[in-house]
Amino acid sequence: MTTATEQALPESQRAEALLTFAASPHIRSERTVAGTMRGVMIGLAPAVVASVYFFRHYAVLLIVTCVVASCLAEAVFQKLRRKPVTLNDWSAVVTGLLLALVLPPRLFAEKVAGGSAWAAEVTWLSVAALGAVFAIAIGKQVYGGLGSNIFNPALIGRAFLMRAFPTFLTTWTEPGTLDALSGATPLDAWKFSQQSTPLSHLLLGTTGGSLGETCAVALIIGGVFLLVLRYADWRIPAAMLATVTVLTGAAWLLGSEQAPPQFHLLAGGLLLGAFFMATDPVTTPVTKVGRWVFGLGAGALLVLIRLKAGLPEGVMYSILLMNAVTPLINRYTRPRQLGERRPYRKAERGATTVHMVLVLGLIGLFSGASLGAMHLWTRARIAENEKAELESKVQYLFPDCDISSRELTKQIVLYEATDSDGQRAGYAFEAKGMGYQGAIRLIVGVKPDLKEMVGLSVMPTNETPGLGKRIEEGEFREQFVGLDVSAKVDLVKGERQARNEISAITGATVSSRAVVRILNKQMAEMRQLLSEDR
Amino acid sequence: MATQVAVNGVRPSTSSGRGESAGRRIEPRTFAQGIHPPELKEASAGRPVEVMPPPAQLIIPLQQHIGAPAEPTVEAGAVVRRGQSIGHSEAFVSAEVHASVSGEVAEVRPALHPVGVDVVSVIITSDPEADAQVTFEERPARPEEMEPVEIRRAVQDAGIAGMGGAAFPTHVKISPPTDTPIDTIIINGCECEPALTSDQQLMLERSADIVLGTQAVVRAVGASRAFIGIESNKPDAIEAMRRAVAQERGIEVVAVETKYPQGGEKLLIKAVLDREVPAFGLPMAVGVVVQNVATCIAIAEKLRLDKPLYERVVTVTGTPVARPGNYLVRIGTRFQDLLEFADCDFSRAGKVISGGPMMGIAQYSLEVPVVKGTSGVVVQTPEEVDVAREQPCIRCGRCVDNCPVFLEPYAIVQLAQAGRWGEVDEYHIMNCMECGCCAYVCPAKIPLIQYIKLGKAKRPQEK
Repeated sequence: MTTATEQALPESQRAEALLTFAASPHIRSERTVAGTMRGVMIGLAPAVVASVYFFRHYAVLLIVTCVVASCLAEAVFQKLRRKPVTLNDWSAVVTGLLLALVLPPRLFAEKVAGGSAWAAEVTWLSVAALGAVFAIAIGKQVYGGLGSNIFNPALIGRAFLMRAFPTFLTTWTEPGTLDALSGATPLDAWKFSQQSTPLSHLLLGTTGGSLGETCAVALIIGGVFLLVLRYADWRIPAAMLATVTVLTGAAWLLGSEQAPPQFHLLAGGLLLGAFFMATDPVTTPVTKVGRWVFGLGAGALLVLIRLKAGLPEGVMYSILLMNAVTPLINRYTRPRQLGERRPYRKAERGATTVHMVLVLGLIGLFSGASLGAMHLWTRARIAENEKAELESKVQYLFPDCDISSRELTKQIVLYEATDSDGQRAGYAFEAKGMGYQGAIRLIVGVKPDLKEMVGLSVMPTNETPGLGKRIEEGEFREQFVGLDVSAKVDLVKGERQARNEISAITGATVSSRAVVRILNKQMAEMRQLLSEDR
Repeated sequence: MATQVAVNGVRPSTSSGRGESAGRRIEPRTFAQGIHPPELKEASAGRPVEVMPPPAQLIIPLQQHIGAPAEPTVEAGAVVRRGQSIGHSEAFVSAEVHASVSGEVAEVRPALHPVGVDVVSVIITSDPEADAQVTFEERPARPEEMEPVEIRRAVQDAGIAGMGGAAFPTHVKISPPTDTPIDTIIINGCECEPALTSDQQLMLERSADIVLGTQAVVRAVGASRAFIGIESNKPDAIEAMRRAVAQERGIEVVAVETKYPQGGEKLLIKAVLDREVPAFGLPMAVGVVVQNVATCIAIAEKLRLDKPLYERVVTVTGTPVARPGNYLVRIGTRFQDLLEFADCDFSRAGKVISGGPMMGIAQYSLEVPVVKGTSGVVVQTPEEVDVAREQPCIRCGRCVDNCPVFLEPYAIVQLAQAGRWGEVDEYHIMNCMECGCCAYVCPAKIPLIQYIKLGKAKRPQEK
């Protein structure tokens, strides 16, 4: 700077001293980008320590793999883009660390061809590394690198892995045991089995879950550190947690069978997401009001997903969805200048809040109306098709029989099978309930005495392919032929020991348990109804 | 230093009309947002004003003010007397220029000015003996008995311009149009810039003149009252001014929160009166005129001594300066001479700033003179000079969170980097006062003020 300036000056003006010439201000705050990233890592340290305590070498390996893969990916892609390599801003390290913390600790040998624990671990680390590469390359570098991405890169990595390797991403392990496949996080347990987890377990982390989400205490300590030292704006976590509290609290008070708000706050990835993901400055709004909106939206979406959608957990999607509308939020929450009157900026490309609400409302109305019309138009035909399919399944259960149906109650249709001799061959009826990823519909065939099953048909489900979806397969279903249903059917892991037991599909405990639960419930109800009926 | 949002930040009121909102006055008052940089005032605070004798040569630019430059009224070879007019303009928005020393005019030529360009200047070789014989007679000054137009004329004749740094011709400021009534005067004793202490020292030593100047301004614009705004980090000055106005009706001292940039006139008006000057407008739109304490003293000296503006108090400070302090310096004194007088170790000078570290202008030559708006000279060592490399914006929002006029600097930078100059007005770039809060807090070390200045220069100019 000084050399060029000196050369450009006439003789009379050349200074004796070499003076630096720059625009004001000439003093600046000490906060740097790298310092902010390091601050985030310090905030994550308690959660990292907890993860190592609970998941031991699996935690260490996973974190190291993700961080190294992220850094390598960033270096390679920056070189490919012919840009300077900026690993020294620590952002790739943070992305890798966050990705590791939202992944399950390990993979189990049964899932991997070859079947050894070592092969399982190598496979898992490779998958995680792939996720990290995707997170950096697609989640960040293609947008232009640090500061230009729309979506949180770690969450993009996880979203990618969820869809590419769904079976790997939905198995969990109990901390401490480490060798037992538990199949459930606290949120899974609540959604599919109505089992609650004691708060102490949620706080201390003695539950299943991803690497960093289990220990609420560690996350809260780290999160508070982050907010107090201003490495993250407090508005987003505050808004998100408050919204979740209010909405789940309302649901809990108003409805039955809802978990209390403190459960929702401490279970799953909410704390990790609220403090460490939703506070990523690049992908969240830049204005104070905008941040409140973001937190509110993410919290509301999260509650919607957890309570109403088929997934047990929704932190990732709620944050990614809000990331998508962040540019919009920035545009509509611009601050009012000092001395600017309200209403202001009327003609600014129509960018007023009223305009936004109208446009979005119209789009929503139109979409809803089209969907509704389509639904009404096809409803009758769908019902017909379903009935026909049901009947064909029943027929399949009772071949060579005549099938007749009658309405036992408003909701339940009873199919009666009569064999060629005119004898009652059995009954069939539908049984419905919640599975792991959605509803499960069964067609149960029983002998006339209601003590023994003839067979089971499972209508196509949304369960996890390769795992839960295997309840539709013959291997699982043939267990129900001749099943003793005079009393409650039990689900066991491992071999069946009694005639009223069903062996769960390995790695699909939740779906298997759902089938048994649905069956038992329906059997009890049918016994009741049919005895009244007689 | 981590930056903090205002403690009792007053959110912009929804109307920019008159009338203070009752019940929202908390001492100390403040505006919303802004930053708390280190004060850096220990070196020179409280040091009594020391008179620097005139150096051998003075360079007096004919434009040290906003508006039309003055025309020289002397030429090379002329003998001048201290206080004699050497530059005059017929334009209303302009200022008279006076000789700061008795001596001989060496030449009239373009010379480097602290804003970084050459300005036609009168170079005077001083004659210390002749200079010592110049005196100004004390006489009674009673502004309340003068006609407003008399006061304005006097101020104009004295060549007084805003000495807080902006150097707006004062007689223009105290001549509001008849359809714009002024009800309140605010005297700016904030000195919010780190490192500067000259105004503070003036409030301790010259409080009577500040009051006299205030009375003159009040009389000139027809206001009904005046407030003297002083930041809370100067309790001695607050006390001194309170004593000085104790017998005055209509002048009140108001302590304001120590926060940068409290001394910006729009923010001072917001803090003291809770009125918002309309964006792109002037304080007179809300019935207010703001004057710096040093300007008041210059007005007082004109009324009391018939003395024009030819000298001012300058804070000289910085690590390489062995004798930091507040110096009474003749306008036209070269920085080189001033820094020598303050025993600056030039071998350790890395950056020399005219003004304060937040808004001051870095100098590339020490041949520049002290002008009417030079409030301080701050010297940094090469190690203290901040040369951080610019990194990509991470949209942390700190610039938005701290801007005292609620702009979005990050957006202006994005547009500037893409060359989209036509769109910078959507982000109200002309409302930016270039205070530097945004650049101060930016963790990516983006030179925000530089981008904003560029945007202002390159935007379509028809507005």
